[in-house]
Amino acid sequence: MSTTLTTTTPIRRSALAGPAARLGANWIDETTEWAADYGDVSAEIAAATSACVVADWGPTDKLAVKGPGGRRVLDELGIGAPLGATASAVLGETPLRSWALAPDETLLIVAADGAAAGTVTAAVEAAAGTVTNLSSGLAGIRVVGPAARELLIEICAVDLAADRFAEGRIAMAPMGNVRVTFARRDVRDVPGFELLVARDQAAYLFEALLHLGAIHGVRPVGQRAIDALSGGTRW
Amino acid sequence: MPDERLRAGLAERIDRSQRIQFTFDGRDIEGHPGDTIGSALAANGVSTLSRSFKYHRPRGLLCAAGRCPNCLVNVDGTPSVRACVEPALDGMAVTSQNAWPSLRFDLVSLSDRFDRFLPIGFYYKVFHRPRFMWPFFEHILRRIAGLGVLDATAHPERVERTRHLHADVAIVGGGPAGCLAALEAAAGGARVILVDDAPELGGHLRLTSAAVRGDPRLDGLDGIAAAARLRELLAETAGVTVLSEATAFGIYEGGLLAAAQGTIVHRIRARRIVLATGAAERPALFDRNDLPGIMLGSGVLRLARLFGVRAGRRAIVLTDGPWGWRSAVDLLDAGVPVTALLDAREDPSVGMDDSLHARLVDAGVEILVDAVAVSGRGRGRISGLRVRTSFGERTLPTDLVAMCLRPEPVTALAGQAGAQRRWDAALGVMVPDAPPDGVLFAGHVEGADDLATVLASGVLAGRLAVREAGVEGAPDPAPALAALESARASAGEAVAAMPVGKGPGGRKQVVCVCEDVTVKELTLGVYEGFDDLETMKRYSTTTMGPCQGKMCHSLAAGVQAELTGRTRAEVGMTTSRPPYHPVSLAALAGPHLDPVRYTAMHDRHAALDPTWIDMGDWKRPLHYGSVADECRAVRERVGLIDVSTLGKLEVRGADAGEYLDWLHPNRFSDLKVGRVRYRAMTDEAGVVLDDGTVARFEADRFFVSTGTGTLDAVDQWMRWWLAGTGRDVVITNTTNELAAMNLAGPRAREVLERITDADVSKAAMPYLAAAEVRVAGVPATILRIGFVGELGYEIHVPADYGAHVWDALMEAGRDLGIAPFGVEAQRVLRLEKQHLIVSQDTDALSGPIESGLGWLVKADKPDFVGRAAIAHAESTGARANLIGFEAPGRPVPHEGAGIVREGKLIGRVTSAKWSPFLEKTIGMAWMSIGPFETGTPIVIRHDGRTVVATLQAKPFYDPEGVRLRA
Repeated sequence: MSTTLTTTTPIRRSALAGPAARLGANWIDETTEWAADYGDVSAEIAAATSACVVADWGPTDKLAVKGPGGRRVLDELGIGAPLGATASAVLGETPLRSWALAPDETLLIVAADGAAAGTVTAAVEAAAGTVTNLSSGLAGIRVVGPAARELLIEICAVDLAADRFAEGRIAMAPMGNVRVTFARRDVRDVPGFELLVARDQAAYLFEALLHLGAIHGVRPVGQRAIDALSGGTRW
Repeated sequence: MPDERLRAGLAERIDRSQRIQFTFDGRDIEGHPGDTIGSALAANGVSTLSRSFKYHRPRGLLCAAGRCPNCLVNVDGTPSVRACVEPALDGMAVTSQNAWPSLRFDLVSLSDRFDRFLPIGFYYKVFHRPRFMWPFFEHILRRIAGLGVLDATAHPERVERTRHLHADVAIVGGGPAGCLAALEAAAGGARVILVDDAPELGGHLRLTSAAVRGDPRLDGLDGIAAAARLRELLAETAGVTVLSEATAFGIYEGGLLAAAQGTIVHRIRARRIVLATGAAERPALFDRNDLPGIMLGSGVLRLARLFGVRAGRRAIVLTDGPWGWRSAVDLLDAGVPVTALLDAREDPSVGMDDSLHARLVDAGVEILVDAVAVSGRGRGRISGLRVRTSFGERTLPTDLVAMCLRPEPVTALAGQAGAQRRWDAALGVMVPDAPPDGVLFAGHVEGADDLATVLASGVLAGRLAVREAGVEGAPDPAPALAALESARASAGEAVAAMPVGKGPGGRKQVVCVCEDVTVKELTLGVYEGFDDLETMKRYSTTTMGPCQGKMCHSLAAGVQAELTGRTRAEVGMTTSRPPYHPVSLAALAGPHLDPVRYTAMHDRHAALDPTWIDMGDWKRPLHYGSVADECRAVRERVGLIDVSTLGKLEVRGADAGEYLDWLHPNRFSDLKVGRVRYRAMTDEAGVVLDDGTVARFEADRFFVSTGTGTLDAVDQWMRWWLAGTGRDVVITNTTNELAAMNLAGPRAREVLERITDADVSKAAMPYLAAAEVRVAGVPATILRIGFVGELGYEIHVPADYGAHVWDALMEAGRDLGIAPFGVEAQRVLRLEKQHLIVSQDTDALSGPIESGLGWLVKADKPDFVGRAAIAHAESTGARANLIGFEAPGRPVPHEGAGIVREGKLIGRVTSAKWSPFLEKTIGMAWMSIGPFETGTPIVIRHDGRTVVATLQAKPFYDPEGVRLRA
């Protein structure tokens, strides 16, 4: 029995939609509940360059590629990354970020609007690797600004100094008592980090960052501000 | 109003052009910005700041450096603040502690008069006979004990913070050695953190007018100017982070250095730690040595130099070496009138600087040699000091005694880091022995008191630290080593401190000012058999107070040595443990970071304002207002519950089926594609660990669900058993990836049909079918199972669409009477079906057979985890049984309530609820003694009463499972 309930476009909702809504976020569109902005994009951009901002990063597809065959295929497709580091790449028209977590495990974070996910899955499985979809299971948070390190050192024991933690390098450590996989990702000259956390703990971490960050001038920002800072595209 | 301000000095920190005002016990106190509470009080002639712990003796400033307990006050609701280092702010309300009814007239000081009833270890000896009086005495003692009173509601705005810092070299101590070490390490390319507990760097140099010699950067300057120069140099040096007013309170395993700075705790990880913690004076032992007005010499100097406050007008200096003469001259230079100097040595000419002697004589200071203090005179404040010389005894009038005995190395952090301490007979103090790996010592802490040696050792430590930290390009330390050796050689003969021992006599020679332990009490303790310093410490509580032995450790060791006829080397020191300095529990805990886990539908629940329950870190709705209504909705119409918290694992690979067979007592390799089966997992001891389901979607792809709280354990368990076996199996944790909800009730199919094009008829999707379809436009996994005993569908969708699908189901079911139901309703409904919950109805000894899961165990399987144990249990026969029971009315027995027969415990209740649908009490229980037949009466003990129930072996509701298979 078919009704409109089977045919309307499903609404995709970020793990951070709850806190974002309470902070006054405007969504990207009616079916994509990620913050595009919080009402004042120029103030958001200014905060990123003068203090620190926290941004929800998505919607994205996330593919966990496992098995030695999988890594080889990614290299052949030109979307691999050095072990322990991240890399940006494009597959067809779709931008993506590649996180080489372990010799037999790479996480791909893919723009949600392309056919790349399907291409990668087919190629990897043909080479006897496995691909698991974690698109909903991980949430991405970006922390960007001159005060980013001052904020993160309150919850992270890893040495994040610019000359000790290279651009693109990945680490896994507890932050605020939850497990986080993160990488350094400066936005042009502005210091920044990308954090991946289990979906169910993302809202807690987001709110913890904002709470602890109040003293550092931290505020939430939407995709539009990050895009503008990145010179056009957050990828 | 007495005004004890001195003329402005170069080193002072106060701004005389402005005034501030605060209150102390209601009295207005004036001061200047830059004053501490203690310095302002001293400037106003206030000499008593607190009452001591046990005897409530009046106490005043002693160290003026934050190291002793005498100045603990309550500031704006915060107890036990050290007045001598806490900045005074306009409008503060400061009150005294530990005195009743007032600081001036403290009735509890009667305990001082009756001290014979409060000897060492008194709580083992008095007040507990007659026995019936003990609760009364205990109540009073508890009221009196302690110092400050905590108001937990004060200062809710305060946020304690933690910071994780990293360095190549961390240096503790911002005196001359520490500062030079920092400069050298930074010059060598190291990232340096310098921790200092004072508001500005320079250490004791800030207080002295003595000329500095020994480093080209400082030669010719006096102490105050040298300290300023060091501060300038550090400010200009890149790579040095200075943490001021930060106390390093502990070195923990792995070289973790912890420092408290206000409400921030810094956790510092450095490749090398340099301890430049310096040396500190100790009090002298004589009768009534704790009177207000008796201070450490450095404390008097600090008040004078940094705050322009004269702590007295007729000061007597007590000393045992040339350091005291230097201090006396410093006091005169700072404007403090010194009337007499007592040197305990017979011949003070050893190590003497003649110019110091001349200065004192010119200033009219009476010099007495071979002289010791006998007792302090005065009420509430010292007014005279009785002294003994070779000519006899006399009383010198005084209002201030400055104790300038030999400073002793501060070795607590060194001890925490693992260094032994040894007695240096040439110096008469305990010094640290070889530093452990990763640690270096610099400066006074090593024992030397010659400034040139101190400076050279700081330079060397900095060079060595940066080299050992592996910083590339670090300069060669050899020249610094040569310089140190040369400084040592020219230092001249060391003067040993006089031995610490009992004073000439008296009942109130206070050894431990924190805990009011006197020489008399230590004598009694040794008499009672506590001849080892460690046991004496615990029996007397000496060194266990707020100062943690800073004032009393060497006094206690010296007295112990004298009383037991041993040497200081033999007595040693007690073990150093963190924290060296008190740290609030709130600061140690840091910010409140308690993870919370939210499901994808959390906001949908929150909008209905449910009663929440915490299940581990998860927030789940317990109920939405009426458990009875929710149960009724599920039984009569259709309900929807969020079960996203269940664990979900994807198990893939050619060997996946066989691997699942290995892990469970039943089989999954024969599970057909498109079917789901119950699973219960046992460990090697045959104990049930977890239950859930397994569904098969392809020959080599299974979907496993686990309990909410057991997911992590099961995930680890499955990976552990897989490791190294070479099986072709890949396990992926998809718990977070999928949101899950259970649609249950006779109308469930009607609701589901409205939002999916898939065929969900009974024929296409019978009980225990599993399918991957699209629901509300989203890929979904559906399992037709029924924990609550109705037609039900467990629907898993990508979590990003969880709220969307929830909304679609609620919308689709609106006219059919759909209602959300929570954990409590689910528990009642499953209990009506006698579906067990692992670790609620089972425990750490429960095997599958006695839990009613014997039908799962496939004895014809070749092997599986737990097989041997289960087979053994089966062969031994009679065992406990998990079985249902019911009672016609209330009360509902507690979980854990005992079941008795003829006075013996024969079982216990595991679950019990009131069933609104069946209108009776239902439950499950372990019974160890039969009969177990339905209808057997049992007696349950509940709240001192008994509840009579009857056993019911079959489910209370729909025992044939007709509704489940609809």
